[in-house]
Amino acid sequence: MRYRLTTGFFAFILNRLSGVILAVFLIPHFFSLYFIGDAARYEAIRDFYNTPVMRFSELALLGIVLAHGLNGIRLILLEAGAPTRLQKVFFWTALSAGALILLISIPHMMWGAR
Amino acid sequence: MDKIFRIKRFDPEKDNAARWEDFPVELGPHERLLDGLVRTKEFTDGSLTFRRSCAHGMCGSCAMKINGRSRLACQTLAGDMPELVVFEPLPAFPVIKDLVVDMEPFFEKIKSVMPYLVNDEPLPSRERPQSPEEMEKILDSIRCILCACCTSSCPVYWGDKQYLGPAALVKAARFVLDSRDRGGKARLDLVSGAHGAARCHSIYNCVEACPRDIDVTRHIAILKRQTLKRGLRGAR
Repeated sequence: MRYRLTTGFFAFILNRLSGVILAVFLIPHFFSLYFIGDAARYEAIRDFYNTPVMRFSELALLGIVLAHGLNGIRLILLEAGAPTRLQKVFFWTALSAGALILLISIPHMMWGAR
Repeated sequence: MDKIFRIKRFDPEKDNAARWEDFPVELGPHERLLDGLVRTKEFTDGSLTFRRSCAHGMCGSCAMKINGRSRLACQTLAGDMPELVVFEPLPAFPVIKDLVVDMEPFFEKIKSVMPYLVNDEPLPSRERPQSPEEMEKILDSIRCILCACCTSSCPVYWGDKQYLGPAALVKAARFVLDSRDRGGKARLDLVSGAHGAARCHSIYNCVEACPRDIDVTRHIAILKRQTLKRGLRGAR
């Protein structure tokens, strides 16, 4: 189905994609928590998460969480009665706020002490 | 002003699949695209098939997908369009011929939400009065012309043909909000459930497509809140 991409349609696709990614992410996340077991394994997992690739992955994860969470708040507000004319404003506000938080987090997420 | 009308054509008696055909059309900037379609049918190709009736944005017959979105051909000015204008039948409905789709699935959804006033109270001597404030609540939704621009533009409806769709939900909201109506509870039960109001993902394509500028998603959100309240109270 080809249809013109509107702001709301784009927000919907973004929310769906980020939702699916987060749901898939939770499976290895819970496994990794479950298998921590003892102190040595905890240290090993911690070192693994400290590698640049994993740090960047966590930064990407933060971006996806922000996109999904902030757009979720937008939808809750709109469905609770916020006027429709604000839907695009809300979306771009949510996206900008998410991008800002992500930008501010880059130094800590990539190079901060762990 | 020269335009190229690129029309998605399908004749069930001749074609195995839909095909594209281009027609050069001369239109003034203040003429409507429907004028161009009528002229093409009259002077170039009489087999071109589309619906039209009032040609003034009141009947909803000439709803079709034009340059990627559902709208009325009679309400779209040539001057607002690029040189290439692409016409397709309304999305999500079975195509009968060229730009004509089978609207029966759409009207079935409308019929399923009791789209009429329910009131068993004794008839008053004159009309059933409404205050201006009560009238205000339904002023937006009573303007629906059942053109199906909203339902055909809804990605949720594309994926779930059992979904009631924006038009049927607006029709339900129109009577739920009507102070004279007494069928509210039964109607809320009809629009609750997996294929009802809660299926809406607030994508707002319907709001952008509506040629009558109805705030469709707001009406669906009202139904969402009312069905939720009814569900939490145990559907008394």
